[in-house]
Amino acid sequence: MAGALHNQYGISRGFGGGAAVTGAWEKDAAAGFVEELFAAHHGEIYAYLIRMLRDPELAADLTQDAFVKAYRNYNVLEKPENARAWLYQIAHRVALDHIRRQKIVRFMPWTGESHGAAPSTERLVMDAHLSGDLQRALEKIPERQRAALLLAELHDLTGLELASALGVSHVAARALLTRARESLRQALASERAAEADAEAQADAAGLGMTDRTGTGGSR
Amino acid sequence: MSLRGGRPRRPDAWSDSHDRARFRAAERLDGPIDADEAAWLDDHLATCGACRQADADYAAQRLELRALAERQPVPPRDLWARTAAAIEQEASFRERTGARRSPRSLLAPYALLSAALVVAVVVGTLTSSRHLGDDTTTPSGAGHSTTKGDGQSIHPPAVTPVPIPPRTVEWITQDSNGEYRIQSATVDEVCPAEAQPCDTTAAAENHPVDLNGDAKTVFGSPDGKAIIVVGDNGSPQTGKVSVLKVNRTAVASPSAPPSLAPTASPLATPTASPTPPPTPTPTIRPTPSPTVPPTPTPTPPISPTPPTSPPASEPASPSASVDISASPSDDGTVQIAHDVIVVGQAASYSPTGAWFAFTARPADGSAGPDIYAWRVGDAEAHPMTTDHRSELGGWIGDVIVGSTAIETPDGTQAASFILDPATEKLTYVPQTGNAWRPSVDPFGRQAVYWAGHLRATIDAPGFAPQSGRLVLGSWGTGNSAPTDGPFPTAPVDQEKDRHEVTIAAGQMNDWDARWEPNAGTKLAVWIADANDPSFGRLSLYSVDPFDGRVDLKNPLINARRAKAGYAIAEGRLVWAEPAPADGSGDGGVLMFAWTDKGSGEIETAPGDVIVIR
Repeated sequence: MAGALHNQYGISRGFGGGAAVTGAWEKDAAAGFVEELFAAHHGEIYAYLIRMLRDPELAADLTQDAFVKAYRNYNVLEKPENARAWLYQIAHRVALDHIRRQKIVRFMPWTGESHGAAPSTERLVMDAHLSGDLQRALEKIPERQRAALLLAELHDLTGLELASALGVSHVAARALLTRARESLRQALASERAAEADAEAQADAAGLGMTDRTGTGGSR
Repeated sequence: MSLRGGRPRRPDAWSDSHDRARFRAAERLDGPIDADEAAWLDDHLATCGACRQADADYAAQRLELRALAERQPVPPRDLWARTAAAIEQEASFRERTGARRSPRSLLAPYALLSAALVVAVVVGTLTSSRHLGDDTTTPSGAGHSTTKGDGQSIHPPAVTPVPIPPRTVEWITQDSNGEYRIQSATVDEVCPAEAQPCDTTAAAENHPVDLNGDAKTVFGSPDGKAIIVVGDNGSPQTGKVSVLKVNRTAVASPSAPPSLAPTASPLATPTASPTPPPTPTPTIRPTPSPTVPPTPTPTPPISPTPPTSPPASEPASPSASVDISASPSDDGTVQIAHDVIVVGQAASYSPTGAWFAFTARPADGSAGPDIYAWRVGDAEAHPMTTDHRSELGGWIGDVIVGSTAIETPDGTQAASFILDPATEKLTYVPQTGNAWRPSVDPFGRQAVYWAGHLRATIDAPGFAPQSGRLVLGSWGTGNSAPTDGPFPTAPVDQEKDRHEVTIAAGQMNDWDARWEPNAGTKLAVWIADANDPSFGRLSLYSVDPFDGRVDLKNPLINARRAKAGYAIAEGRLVWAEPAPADGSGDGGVLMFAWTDKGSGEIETAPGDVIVIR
């Protein structure tokens, strides 16, 4: 993979013979680099951001931001073979920055839907992808732990790539991932216990199963 | 994924053996662990059912997580078009400022001069008669993305610019000598909204202006002959509001070194400037009907109330007031208020340009906010309220719309009123419900306001939103029965009655909602960041000219990063984009313009900007 990346981003774009991208910023080289980077990775970056943020439009905006940042800073990438992890690092920071801001003031998208209105089609489609107790449990664990789990398990980053993407040492990345597994285990247990309670109450009320699939608006 | 090489934690560092076992079991999923620890873990798992279950849970959740990867979300089809457009925009900035410079050094020339760049754009109220230069370069559409979803080309075919009526963009820079200079350019076309913004040219005009201290915000008068500067003299405790006549005859080359001379000629006294006749006969929709049946309890009556009488909820404090005495300086600048702190973002000229109103409180913190109005040509601004609990919402014609904080059994809420600065008559409009700082459209049909509770601010006397929502709601058609006092007589379902639609919820510092003057076909809403109220997000929405419905689902500008203070005028919206927090670029001034032929965007000079409204 590293060799492919090297060829993909380095030699074909003439970044010093593929040895290192670091150097002067050149418009055409930056554009070509990001164009190839986008073609290869925009889907997974978007998927990562939508899993982190659960908002398709926001994920698209932040994906765009991530690639623009890559364009601005392509010349600081030391090794082309690290481009994927570097891109995840940018996306990770973009996501955390957004989450940090949202913790202070929660902006509600002005969609024109009144209170109690049905969710948008876009939201329903996203929920179909991301619904379930696992996703809900993921939302309850700390963002950095969630990022570590997503990157390691869903996006298949290697240990070094994970450390690079998270901006921490190899040892710290592993410790973070380990803590994330325990946090998720507890959150999942809590989520499933709540689900069982809800089902029991629904059964007791003769209402049958509670919709927890995420598409029925039970949350 | 495999993570190797992690330094094992000391076995005796765990609070209990189960904690240690779970940690090691989770850690082992990601790679080998120390051999001794692995042996200890196996032994522990053999005897501990709970830890075995945890170990099994880790493995199961890993499988579940990996199953999620099979359901890959599909990116929007136009993601590449959007990204390419943004990249091209970034490239255009770099080309102008020097591609080889680091993002932090984009303003290097200014830094070398040890000068702070303050850019003030005077656009919103400019008329065609104020076009200062014809040296406008046609915005280049080359390289702008027009394709959607092809995901292939970063250099799609050139776009066709949208012609617009010529509009002058002006901004102010501060040079190394601390002197402010007005620069300007004329814009007559923009790039379509689906492409990236065009770039403007260099300034066409450049001449000095003496702002007499630090400029915090600058307002351009509708006739283009004066600016109103809100400054702080370098200290937030000594703020002032000054009126300066703009001399546009001292034109110099944009490349010429800044003149050390003061403004070309002393400013005329404010009374010398043309004063639009006061319009004491406003045409406002929500004016309480004279046939409203009086209710037995509320006071004061619904009939116009002298503005000097405070709202019933708060007695006036005569001892605490803002010093607004006029202080003409040698250069003719007139301070219409000094030793004040201007509160909020609602300060503005009236649509006719005859008045300027703002909310202010004494800089010494001795009292809360009141609304002040300055008639163009007068020597000073006058307080329109004295209860120290009132804030400006906006204008309907030449009538002020404001609100005051009232104490109710349910906490601090708001009561709104209208106030004619010419006749100094204040009239409550309780039928508008609990509405703080209402910004009403030009026809009085609907308004943007805070619906919820208020809190007393901690750092200074005043009020701020606590819990509730920033909403768009009907203004003059509430179902609650009008009363002749500020308090509604009976509980009402305000959200339902006023057809409120939420714009934003939760605690917030500030916002700024403004309608396109006259036509009212656009609504701009800026919401401040909670950490730094000098920054926020700006959106622009279309308003149906027939029924007033706001197109909520298709914003023309959607939550764009913007500094406090934007300008909206007929056919255009101008705002300042802040520099990214990570220092990866610089900010700039952007204009979104619309006509019946289309709409589009254009960029002006990059820099740390403050937009005048």
